Amino acid sequence: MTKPGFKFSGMINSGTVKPPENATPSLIQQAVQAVSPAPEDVVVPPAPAAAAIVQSPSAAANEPAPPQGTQAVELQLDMIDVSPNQPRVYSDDEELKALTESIAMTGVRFPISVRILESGRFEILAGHRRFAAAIEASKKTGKKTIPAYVHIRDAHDALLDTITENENRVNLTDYERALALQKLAAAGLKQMQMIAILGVSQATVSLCLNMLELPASIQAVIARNPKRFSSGTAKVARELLKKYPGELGEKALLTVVSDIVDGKLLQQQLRSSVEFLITPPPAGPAVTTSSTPRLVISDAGAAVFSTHAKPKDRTILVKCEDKRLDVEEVERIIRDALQKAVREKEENPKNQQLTSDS
Amino acid sequence: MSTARKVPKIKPRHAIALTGFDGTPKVFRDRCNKVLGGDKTPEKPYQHRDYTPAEIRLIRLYLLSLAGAVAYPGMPPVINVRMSKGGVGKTTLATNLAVCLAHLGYRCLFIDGDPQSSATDVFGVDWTTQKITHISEVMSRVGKGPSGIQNAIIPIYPDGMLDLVAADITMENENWLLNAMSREYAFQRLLDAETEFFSQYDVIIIDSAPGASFLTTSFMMASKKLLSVVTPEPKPVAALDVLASSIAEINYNFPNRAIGPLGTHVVVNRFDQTKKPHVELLSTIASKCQGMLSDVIVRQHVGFLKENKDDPEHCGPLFENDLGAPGSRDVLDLARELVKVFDIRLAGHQAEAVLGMRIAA
Repeated sequence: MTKPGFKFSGMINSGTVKPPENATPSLIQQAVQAVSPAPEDVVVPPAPAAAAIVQSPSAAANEPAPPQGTQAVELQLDMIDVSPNQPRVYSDDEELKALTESIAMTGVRFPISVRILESGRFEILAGHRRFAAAIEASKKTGKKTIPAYVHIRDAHDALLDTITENENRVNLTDYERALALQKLAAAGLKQMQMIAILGVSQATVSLCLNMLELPASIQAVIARNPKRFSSGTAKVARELLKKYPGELGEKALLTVVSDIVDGKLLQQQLRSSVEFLITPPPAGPAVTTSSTPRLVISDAGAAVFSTHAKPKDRTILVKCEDKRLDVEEVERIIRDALQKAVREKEENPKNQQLTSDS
Repeated sequence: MSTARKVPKIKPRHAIALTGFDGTPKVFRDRCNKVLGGDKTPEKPYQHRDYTPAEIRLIRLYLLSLAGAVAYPGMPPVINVRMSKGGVGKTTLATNLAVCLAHLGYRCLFIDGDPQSSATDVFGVDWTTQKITHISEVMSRVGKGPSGIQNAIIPIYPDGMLDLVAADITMENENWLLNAMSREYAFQRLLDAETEFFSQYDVIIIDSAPGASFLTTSFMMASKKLLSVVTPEPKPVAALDVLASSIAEINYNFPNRAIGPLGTHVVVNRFDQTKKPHVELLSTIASKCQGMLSDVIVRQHVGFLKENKDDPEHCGPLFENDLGAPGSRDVLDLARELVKVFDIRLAGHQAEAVLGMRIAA
């Protein structure tokens, strides 16, 4: 259809709309919460938690069903379990740190969703990161509760809920999606249903599921940082394994995949790097080997520069991968460094190590 | 029974967007032909077809592999469109939402609860000539005999995809409610008495009058949550406090409602990004309604102002007239959000709520 309209979330992110302030609840907020009990009463006591929710004053005596997500309650952090269906295997530490800080400052603004387990504990449906951040924040602030919506879900619905919730967030990686799809398949869903429910294409589903056909050792490496390894790269990896079966191929692949996951190599370099490891080109002039791009990475592991030497053309390409860099400034630094190198060479002609390509 | 409006013809590309199908148009057409007993023949191998709301419903159920497993859950959720300020676009939004939800395959019952009867008008029902049984009359019969709700409905779309309980000016007369016992529950009593009738729908939408009357109070008592419409202008924003007082009144006087305390979901309507005060007021609204605010902001849309009385079949500022317009896009986004917020289910299936969350590109 037509281009998307305005969303409050987007306008708050872009700074057009000021984020809501928590100072004093407005009249309408007070009106909606008019009968919700005082905070002390809502906090669920550690033992039989489910019963406490059911008897919350907002549910009438003749209505046995507990309030289903209509109203957030404060739950104790130690009563909540992480969902076994949670597809995320990796969380960005910096993002989590930022979230922790904001939660320590203002509390959890959007309640998480949980379901009641038979044991009386709660299992997270949505909000694993908020939960993790709240635990971190509680060490600082001492606040031992988190606002949550309580839902009644059986295990199958909970699986769908957890996975679709994550699917609707943008930053689920391919590998995490693959694990999620595997769980759905195990729960008896057909591929058609997965496509309809998750809203991903048939190609994505099969590419992702194929990722899980990689050897366990390689999957373990990918799980370290699945952001850096897409399903497309996994397809190349499987082709390579087919081409070089046995321990030889797997070992070479493992080395290269580790380098990719650690940010030392680009994903596109997988095929060439593996083939280089397995069948190194005949020893010739050393310069020919350096014709692949190399990365310069920051402490956080993000690519800042990539350099590409082309001995044949006698050129070196320096690409500024980090968008924030001022390219002209970088060029000035390189020129200064080269100028310095040229001067040093003139002063000390014995230094044969220096090679100065233009 | 003849319908008040022509059956909408949904073009294939819109049908794909509405069902959330993620594949090529050709695959979509093949699938649909399989479900609907297609009209593809060897002579006409690439026969294009238009889709009706009822067909969208069938296709969606099929795509979810739920075609045979229809389970009705009982009373559908009630979306009570209510705001204590007139002229903010309650009727425009309510009627468009109803049409949009029908296009998404949900069976809708639309109750015009405003004696001004503008919603009745929008759907092309002429209350000056047609015999109208309004909702207040049906409510007054409960407990005295058959309510006759079945005869009060005017089908807008066929197959029960959109039915209307119309209104006219005589609904202003609320004298019968003055003497009724616990009149706040008058509408709830109708819902309880006719559960079987109401549960054939997936959602009930009520267009309430702006003022506080016995009738609007009675609708509020049967709603879990209101849908409040506000425009980014000073007076409507100030009227949020008036709305707050009527909500507080209900929650104070009926602390043990079986459906929980009354809440509200606030949606901003008629936003114009080129007007600076509009943008500034969004911040005020965001702070005022934190936690109950719809993420979707409905833009000022000129198509909703059009009205062509000479062409009754196309009369009305409705979603169905231009599915590609920016205003329709906003209504669709809002409808999908409401599916989640109000827990609207397709033939009782919750997987639908999950699919409804997704915004097709």
